[in-house]
Amino acid sequence: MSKRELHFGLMFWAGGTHPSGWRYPSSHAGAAFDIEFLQRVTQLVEAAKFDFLFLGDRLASDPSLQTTNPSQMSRLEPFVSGASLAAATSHIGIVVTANPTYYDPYNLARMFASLDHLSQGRASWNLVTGADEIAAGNFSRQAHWDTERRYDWADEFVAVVRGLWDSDAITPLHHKGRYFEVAGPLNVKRPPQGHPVILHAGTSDRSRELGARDADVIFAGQATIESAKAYYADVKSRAGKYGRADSEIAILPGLTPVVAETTQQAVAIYDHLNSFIALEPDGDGGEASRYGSLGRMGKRRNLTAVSAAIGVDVSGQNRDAPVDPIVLAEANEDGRRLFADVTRLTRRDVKGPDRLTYRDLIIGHISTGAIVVGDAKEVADHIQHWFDERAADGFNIFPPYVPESVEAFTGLVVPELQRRGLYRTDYSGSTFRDHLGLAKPGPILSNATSL
Amino acid sequence: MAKPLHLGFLYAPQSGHQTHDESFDPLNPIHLTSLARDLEGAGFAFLLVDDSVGHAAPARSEAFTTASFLATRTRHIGLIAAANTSYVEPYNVTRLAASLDHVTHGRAGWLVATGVADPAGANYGQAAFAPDLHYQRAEEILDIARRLWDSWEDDAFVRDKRSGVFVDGAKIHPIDYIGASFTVKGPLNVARPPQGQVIVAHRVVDRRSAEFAGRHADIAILGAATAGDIAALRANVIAAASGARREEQHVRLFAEIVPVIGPDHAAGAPGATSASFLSGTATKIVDEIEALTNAVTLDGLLVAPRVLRSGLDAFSRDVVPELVRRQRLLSANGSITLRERLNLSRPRNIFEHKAPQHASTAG
Ligand SMILES: Cc1cc2nc3c(=O)[nH]c(=O)nc-3n(C[C@H](O)[C@H](O)[C@H](O)COP(=O)(O)O)c2cc1C
Repeated sequence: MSKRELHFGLMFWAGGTHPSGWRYPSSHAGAAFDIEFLQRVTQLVEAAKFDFLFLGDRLASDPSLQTTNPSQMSRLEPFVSGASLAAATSHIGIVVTANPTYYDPYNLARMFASLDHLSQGRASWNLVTGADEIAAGNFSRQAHWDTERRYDWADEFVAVVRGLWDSDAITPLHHKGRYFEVAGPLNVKRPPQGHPVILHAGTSDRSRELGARDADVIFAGQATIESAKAYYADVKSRAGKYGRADSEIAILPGLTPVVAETTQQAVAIYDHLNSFIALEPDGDGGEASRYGSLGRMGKRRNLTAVSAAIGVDVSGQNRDAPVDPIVLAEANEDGRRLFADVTRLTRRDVKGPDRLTYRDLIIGHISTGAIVVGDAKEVADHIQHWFDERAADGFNIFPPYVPESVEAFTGLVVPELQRRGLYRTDYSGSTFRDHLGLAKPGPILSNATSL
Repeated sequence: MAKPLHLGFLYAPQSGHQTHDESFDPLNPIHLTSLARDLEGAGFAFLLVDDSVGHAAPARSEAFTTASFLATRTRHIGLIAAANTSYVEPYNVTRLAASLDHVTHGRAGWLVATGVADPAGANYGQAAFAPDLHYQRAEEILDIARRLWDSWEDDAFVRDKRSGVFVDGAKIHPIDYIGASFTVKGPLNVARPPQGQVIVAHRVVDRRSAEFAGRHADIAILGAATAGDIAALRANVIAAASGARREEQHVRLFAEIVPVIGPDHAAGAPGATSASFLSGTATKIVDEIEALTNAVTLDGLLVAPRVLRSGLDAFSRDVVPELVRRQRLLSANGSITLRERLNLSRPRNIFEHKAPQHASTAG
């Protein structure tokens, strides 16, 4: 078996994945619709030999996202941006998010087959079943389907799409299932990769089954190494029952790196980014609308919410004041974890010369996903640790502000990982499957007899 | 004397009357790129990437992906992609068209096709339905698309780094559309297209399609074999336009021609009637173009050679210079968007508030 190597994708919300990334001085606030800019950033990660560029998607918009996820309010449709990005690159995989709940298998199979031809074997489908309940209203539906319905539909959908990719005049599909009736054949030739790479992201049991059965890459959202290891082991353990080796599935959690030449500079950038976050007055500690990613209910950005989480009442405190050490001493387990996390990121503590503030607690409390702040060595150590511990086969890199954080990661961290022999110094092939070490699948239909 | 013309190009390998040379591979991105760039160099106003979801034979790549791939590989040529309203969700196709307009900086168009011309129900679990139903869906989807394109006003993005205001929520509008086939809340999740509204094209071959084009299309492509039939289709389009209170000059009228260049006697017999076959030497073809445009007032021609690429190469080499010599070809003339090139104005946003009126001036 060949040596395990890291895989990297760039999670591309063009304004940055940090809710205020677009406000960072060097960021391009109008990036989402500037295709030439998107092409330049893609070329940057291609030069760093990234496996893929990841185009997330949502099927609704809501102006209230502007304080929490401005990059996700509006953007280019991902097949359009994906095809334009393919035109400006030669090796990097192009991941397009498409939600089967609101697509049709014949159309989707055609679009991915087309993108795979145009990109000469670099297309990939991020199969998600949808995070936005409000999307239903844009597609003539009464309501968001529940998990069982979404995954029943998705399971049949992906089988139809694979069947269409393999179909031809001799073996058209003639699929008749619970949800779909599709005659076929597809009128686009079989994709260069056979089947474009399939990514999947989700958390439920149904999602894990779909991932173990159908995904080549799984994009995971766990924030801590313990939860990531458990997820990793669980999904890989399910692969066998579908006749797959666990090495055929790459599990890539999201990771937000804030990296600079020195630790001190990295912390300063992290603080600078967070200084833009608009906090809320104390009083209401309940769930807010949408903080963080994916439209899940979020947390209030105030000390009332922090108090509820840590088990000590700190509401009404001056947010810029250093936190009284008593608070840590009296905090519950979640609270102690929050303090440790804030200290890990900011290097500030309740004692010593550099003291952590109440504001730091609010920011720490609302943060989602895994974050690492530091110099090249510290960030590479973090990555290597997750990789060695089998919490990850690589990462979907969340660039908090664009393009500078991408330049910092590719310029500082990638060379360090290459020195350590953990990451490729060049592409060994030209298709996305090549980067993942996956063979081109033979047709699953029994048209071998017709050859 | 007839006015100078725009040229559009029909890319439709392996469907209708178009085939391709063995040396041209419709799935090869290099071949596609050079095709688009050569058309741009020859002065074509747009490349129409046709599509079919009903024909079983594998032919080419899907139109919007293809046009998007060509977007930044070209600079001036309009890119019109076909999508069939009988088999798409309105929110999806509206986004595709709006996004294509962004990546082309305003050179996008959408050829609205329906299941009448390209029946494909068997691939979509749909029973065949009547032409009127296909057109009813097309009308609804276009209505939804036009509202969604306007759902973000041009200046909805504030992007003020100092204040942290990213958008002005008052300039983003739900559309709350409820129709016979679709319910769409909106808003779209794409900024308003650079052209305001993406250029809409429709193929006109009969009364029903003429009616639709007259009511909705910026470009009507008239497909008939003779000048008389083309004139009749044109009259139907104009009648429908005025019935919908649109001005005649808001619809650009193109006739589809199939040039077959060669010595006079070698001209092939036309097999189809949905286009005008012009055959013979370049001089004779241009004579026929002049005869056609003297007989029928047209804004342009959709050139649909029978064989890709050789048919295009011969047309660019022999016919285009002759059209230029006779001052029959319109150039880009410094325009940037397809709308500007076709001399169509940028539509006002239906949601745009009138400037707030002061009580004194309102009274
Ligand atoms: C890391 C991660 C990334 C996701 N990215 C998207 C996305 O880009 N668009 C989307 O609609 N849903 C996205 N989802 C949501 C999934 O589609 C799924 O609907 C959601 O996780 C709920 O389903 P589940 O219960 O199976 O997890 C993502 C989920 C995870 C965990």
